[in-house]
Amino acid sequence: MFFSPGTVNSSITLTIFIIPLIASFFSAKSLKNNSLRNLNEANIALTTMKVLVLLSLLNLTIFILGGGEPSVSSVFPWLNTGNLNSFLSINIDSKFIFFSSAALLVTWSIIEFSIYYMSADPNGNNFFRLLMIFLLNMLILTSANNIFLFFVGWEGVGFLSFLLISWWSTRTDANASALQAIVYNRIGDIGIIVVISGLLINTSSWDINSLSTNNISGFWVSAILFTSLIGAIGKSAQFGLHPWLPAAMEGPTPVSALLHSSTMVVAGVFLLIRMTTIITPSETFLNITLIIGALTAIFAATSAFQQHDIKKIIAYSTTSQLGLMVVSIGLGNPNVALFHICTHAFFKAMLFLCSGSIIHSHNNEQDLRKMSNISESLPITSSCLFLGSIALMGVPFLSGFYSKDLILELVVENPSNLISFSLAIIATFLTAAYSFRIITFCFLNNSSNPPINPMNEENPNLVFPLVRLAMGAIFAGWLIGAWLLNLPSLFPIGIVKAMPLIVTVIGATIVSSLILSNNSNTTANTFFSKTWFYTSTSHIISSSITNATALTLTTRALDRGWSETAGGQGMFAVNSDLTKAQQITQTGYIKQYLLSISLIVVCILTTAMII
Amino acid sequence: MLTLLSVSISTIVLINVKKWNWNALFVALAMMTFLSITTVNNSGSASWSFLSHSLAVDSLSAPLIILSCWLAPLCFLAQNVVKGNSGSLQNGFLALTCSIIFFLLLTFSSLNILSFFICFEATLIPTLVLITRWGANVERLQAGTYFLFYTLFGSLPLLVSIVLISQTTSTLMIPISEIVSLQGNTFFSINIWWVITIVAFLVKMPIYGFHLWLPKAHVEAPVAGSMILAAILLKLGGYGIIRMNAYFPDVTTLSAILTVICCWGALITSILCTRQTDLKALIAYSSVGHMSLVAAGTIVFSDWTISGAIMLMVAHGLVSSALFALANILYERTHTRNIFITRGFKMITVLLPFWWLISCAANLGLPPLPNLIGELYIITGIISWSIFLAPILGVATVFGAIYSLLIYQSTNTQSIVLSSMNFSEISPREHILILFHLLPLLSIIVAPNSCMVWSN
Repeated sequence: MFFSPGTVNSSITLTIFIIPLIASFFSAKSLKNNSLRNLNEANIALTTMKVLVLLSLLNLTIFILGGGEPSVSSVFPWLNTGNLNSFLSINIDSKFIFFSSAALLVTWSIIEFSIYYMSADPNGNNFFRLLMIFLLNMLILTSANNIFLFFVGWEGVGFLSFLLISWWSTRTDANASALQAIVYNRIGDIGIIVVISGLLINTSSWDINSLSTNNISGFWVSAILFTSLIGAIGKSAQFGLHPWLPAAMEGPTPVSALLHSSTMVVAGVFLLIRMTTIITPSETFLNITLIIGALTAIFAATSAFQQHDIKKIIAYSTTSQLGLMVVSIGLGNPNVALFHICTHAFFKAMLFLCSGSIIHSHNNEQDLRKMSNISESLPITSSCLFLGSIALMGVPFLSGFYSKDLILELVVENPSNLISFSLAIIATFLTAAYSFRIITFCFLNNSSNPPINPMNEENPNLVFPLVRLAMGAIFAGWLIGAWLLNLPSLFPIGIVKAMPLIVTVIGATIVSSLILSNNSNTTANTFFSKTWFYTSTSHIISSSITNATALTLTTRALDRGWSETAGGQGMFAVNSDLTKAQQITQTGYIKQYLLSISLIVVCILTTAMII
Repeated sequence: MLTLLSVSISTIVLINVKKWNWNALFVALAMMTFLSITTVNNSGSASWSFLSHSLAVDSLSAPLIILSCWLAPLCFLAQNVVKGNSGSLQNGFLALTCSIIFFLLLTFSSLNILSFFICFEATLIPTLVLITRWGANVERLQAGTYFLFYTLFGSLPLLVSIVLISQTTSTLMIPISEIVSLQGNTFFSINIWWVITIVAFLVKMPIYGFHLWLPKAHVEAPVAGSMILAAILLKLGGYGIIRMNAYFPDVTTLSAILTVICCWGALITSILCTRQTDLKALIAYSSVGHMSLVAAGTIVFSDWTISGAIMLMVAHGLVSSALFALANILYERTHTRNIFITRGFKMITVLLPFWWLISCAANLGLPPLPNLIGELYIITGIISWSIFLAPILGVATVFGAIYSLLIYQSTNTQSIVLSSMNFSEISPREHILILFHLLPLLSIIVAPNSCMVWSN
């Protein structure tokens, strides 16, 4: 070939970066006088997305045809200090190419959907701008080879998530959730900061790739791995740092669909994929990752089962799937995790868009129990909802099947750990259960919704994205799994292959019959619907400890207490006491003065005589 | 360098220009800023340039000199209230600000420790007058007392130490400080010598423990005073420690203890910030936290930490000054600093939330803003010194994010409380004021090397 595919790929990738950057600066106002077309911010965003999708598919084609060789391209020399030469370099490999294509396809649909969803919002223009900047940060995050660039994307998506969750900023809940998201993310960021420091200390370089070539001590290797695990736990809402993700559902539904299901939350998993491909992970690390992932999956699935807010169910289901991705990393198969990221993006985004459509049509009602009979009133939405749910459950030959079954089979193949296997199977069972809970409630024939609702799904901005994502939910798994990505080939015995399906069918059947009959308020129900009491206990304890520390310890005891007493006020007190004590002698009686003078004279004289 | 100084002196003459004195001074100081940019040392080496008999610039002082020049016209932009005063009072204000800038330039460019010390102390008096004359409340007198006596408490030992250094090495020139590294007779004497040398700077910065004067001074000072104080005067401390530490390469025991104290101080102040109700005090305490980190960096004294410290000093100077300016914009309209009452401004202003957002994001260290670059360098240096400090610094950054975003959220979101307030529109003057605080951050992102020192 005359030109190398790597060069073409990197130039296309840079174009992909520049376009949203320009688009986010574009203002509809400057075009108004021009009136070439009736453009507004939403249309700019949509056009940009179409171009970007085209470019990314081109990128993918060239990459596949060129043999799929990863290449690193240095863009801009930056921070060349003293002993290290540093470039802002991007890493174009299969991970970035696949992720960016899937993410851009999904984002295209979501942005089109938000034109429908945010049409009544007075600040809609800013909303699209923020989505564009978010997308840019996400692409930077996934492509970066320079760890500073990576951190730019990593923090950028977190911060944009903060802004977008608190989009309706007059709502106290939205503000609290936004702050909660940033707090949990920052706790994860401690890990990233240590990773950066470890990289700088050990390799004197900003490049993530240099971890593979340099000889680093065993201590630092495990430190870097475990701290990046902390970062991933924070970002991908794994058990322990998970409460922000369901709380983030306070944001507008397109935000939930884009940030909190398909792109931003997988950043943590993506980091782990990067790290485990560069560094050979230790057994301990893999086992801990496996257990965290399985625990998250089971926790989120049980919690999802008892939620009543439709968006929260889908949010917990996202957490559960993120757990599965982490499980596949723990099994030493980062490629499978990437595969699940790509397929999951399609059907999870579609589920969120469906829920958005339902919520919009039910006059902003989010309670599952007040929705019913949508197969009559919202046929397209309801069929997509059903399709998305069964894709999520892993019904054969939909996209979820290809990736999720692969993970489950890998779990079986891995002989070390029975706990994670049973947890994963239970999680599959529960996935079917909560998915069918949504379906049962939504498709029930009695009408529990209020009579007057603005039911309408004829807006093309709603229908097209849904249909497009539905195609993705059907074909993406087959396309990527069979043709594009190098996946481990497994030959499981029949019972293992059939196991997830059997479990899924049982789960679905039991739930749809159980839901209608059993409505008792048992302790177990409360336990799960309160999400294991994790939020209620940990938030109350941590915030009261922090507040008490801030008030009594740091402010009252140290700042107003010891510091003042040892510093300003203490000095003043000592001085004024001394002055007062000295003032006693100043009485004004001549007799007293004479007495003191004579006493002093006597003293001096006696001392002189003794000496 | 001499050009720069002569311009800054001539500004004092310009005060007498009738009616146009504000504009004339503003233009003169802006020109001075342009001049100062020539001092940037792009070679990346730690060599001296613009050498004259007793003044010179190197890559450590150049960013701080430019910062001082940059902030001067912005102070005039911010302090609009003074224009309601009588003519002589206005002139007094202008003269004080100009003299602070003049002494700052001298401090940063002196080659002699004694003249450095004298100018370092000379900035104290104009600032004191600024706080006690133009402050808003009666508490300004107490704040002035705290400010004066805390700082003086530190600087007398420094004078003693300078005399000792002069006696031992028979020279006080800064450029040869690295050659004449001091040796104490005993272990204790060199440690004590080191402490009495740097305690003045530790108070000035201030690190946690010597910080009580700072929130008081900031809260009571007029906005120009707050801005200069936060942006430049605090940086004198960091600058001084870096300069004086070159004399003491052998001190390790006490410096280890001090580094740990500084890291804890950063944590404690950032926790403290989450319960502050006074907007200006909150920003002041956040300065203490950041400067504690700078102090830790300068005391560890490696290439990484010093570069990070300078970067953080410059970035923090711009950002905290921007935050004080923003707080003042709200204060002039609401006449309260209470954070629970000044809220909901997203509903009635357009661009102001954006400025708050950028400033708060910079304050918490959002990449790629230079605050983060500085923090990363310092944290890297400290972690390579001792890994056990990583959790402390990590938690400090978490709380840094919490309080920074609390500032943003409480001022901008939720519904407005002071419904009867007379809220005048945000003028272009105020927008420009904030914009010029934040623009330099961009240029530092593009060329971060301009704020760094590398010895090779």
